[in-house]
Formats: sequence, structure tokens, C-alpha cells
Amino acid sequence: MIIRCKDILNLLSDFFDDELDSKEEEFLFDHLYQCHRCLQIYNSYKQMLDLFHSLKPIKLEEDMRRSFHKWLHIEIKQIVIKKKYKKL
Amino acid sequence: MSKLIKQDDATLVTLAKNGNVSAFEKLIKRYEDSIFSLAYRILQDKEEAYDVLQETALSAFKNLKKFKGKSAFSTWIYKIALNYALMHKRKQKSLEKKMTVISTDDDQKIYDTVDTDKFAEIQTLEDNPLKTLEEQELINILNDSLNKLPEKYRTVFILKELEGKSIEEIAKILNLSPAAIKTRLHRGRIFLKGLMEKYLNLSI
Repeated sequence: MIIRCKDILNLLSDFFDDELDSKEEEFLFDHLYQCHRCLQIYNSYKQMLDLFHSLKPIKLEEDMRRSFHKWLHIEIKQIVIKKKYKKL
Repeated sequence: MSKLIKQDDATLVTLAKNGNVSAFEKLIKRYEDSIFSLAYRILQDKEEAYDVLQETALSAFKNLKKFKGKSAFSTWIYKIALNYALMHKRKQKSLEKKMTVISTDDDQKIYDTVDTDKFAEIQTLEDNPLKTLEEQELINILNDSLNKLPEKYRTVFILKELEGKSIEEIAKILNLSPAAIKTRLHRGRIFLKGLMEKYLNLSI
């Protein structure tokens, strides 16, 4: 397998999605160690993804969570009661 | 501890369909953080993300009978949440456009998402400008870059890289083939890399 510089972005995308087999990965890294420009592309690609992955997970704040639970409970109870009366 | 906690989604769905309100509430509790997170990543506004969570939960309750279990409940509810979040996003964008048109030159500055001069300056100070930034500034750069992506790339990128969904799951949420998702992901990453190039450390 010969890696061409113009294919590097496609290969990196597959690499970061775990889509390359071990042989393909070996060819990719062989190329990266021989090609300074592609290694730079790899580094900036990886850094960009690492930065996004470093963003903290987002969770509901506790007061928001409480008011959401309260709100949802009232809303669905109202729907259930309305349905019940429609049937009568 | 309630017995319902240990039950899987499918069982809770069945119970909820039969009118068990508590089962539905338990289902929502399982996904409320994921829904809020997805909406917040798309909208970057806490109040609007909360609105999306409310709309999603209510819509799921009203339409639960339509859920036939062909996909996982998580995929189904994520699809609802994504639709509401994207609707809010379109409203946000059209409002921004209107406000930009009526704004003065000074007001216009508010809508300039990235102050490139400022970051160009920082870049001359350190090899890796991102390392010198405060956490909030970094978050702003990432969010601003993400905001510049076309919607179809941004949605896939958020689902994969920020929400940790698999390509197969994203394909189900968006009703697209895994190959189409890979293409969008690939193009989105290249787009983002281009947008962020000046902030990335190119030294090896």
C-alpha cells in the first residue's frame, strides 16, 4: 500500500474513527514519519479533536433539574386527566 | 429504591404506554442530561436548551403510542430533541440576521464571533496560543468555530465528537446511511481544522 499525501485527510478521518486495520495504520505512520508536512497535518488534526474532546460534559443544574421534574409531572398529569374526562 | 430503576427502556416504554406516569418520568430522567447537553451544544444558550428539554419530553409523552420500538427509545427521543434544537437554532439565526441588518456599526461588533486581531496578537506571544487562554476563552473559540460550520456538518460533528454517539447511532438519528455520516463528519472536521488552523500548534 502506497500512501499519497493527497489521501492523508481521508486516512486521518478513518484513523480517528478506528476504521483502519493494523496494516493500514502501519502504512499511515510509516508515511507520517517520512513526510514532515503530513505529520504536521496529523498533529493539528489530532490537536483540534483533542480540544473538542476536552470540553466538559454538560449536565442540568440541580435547580433546573428540580423545576423540570416538577413541571413535567404537572404537565403530564394534566394531559392524563384531560384524556380521562374526554372518555367520559 | 424503586423496582422501576432496574427495568430496561423497553419495559418502561410499555408501562408508560399503559398510562404509568412514573415509568415515563423515569425514562425521561435517564435521558434528560443527554437531551439538555445536545441542545446546549447546538444552541449555546442554557434557557433555550431547557426549552428544548421541555418540548422534547412533552412531545415524547404525547407521541409515545407512535413509538413502535423499531429503534432504541434513546434514538427516538434524541431524534425529537435534535429536531427541536435545530428549529430553535434556525430561529436564533434568523433573529441574528434581522438584528444585524438594523444594527449600527458599533452593534455589529457584538455579532462578530471571533476577534481575529486579538488572537493573532496572542499567537505571537506563545507557540501554542490556546495554552495561554482562559478556559472560557477556549470554549468560546471552539463554540465560535463550531457555529461557523454548515448545519449538516455541525450536527454530525456535535453528535460524534461532543456527545460520543457512534456513526451507526447517528445514522439512525438522522435517517441517513453510515457512509453519508462518515462523509459529513470528514468534511466537517476538515472545515473546522481550516477554521482553527491559526490557533493550532503546528510545531512538532
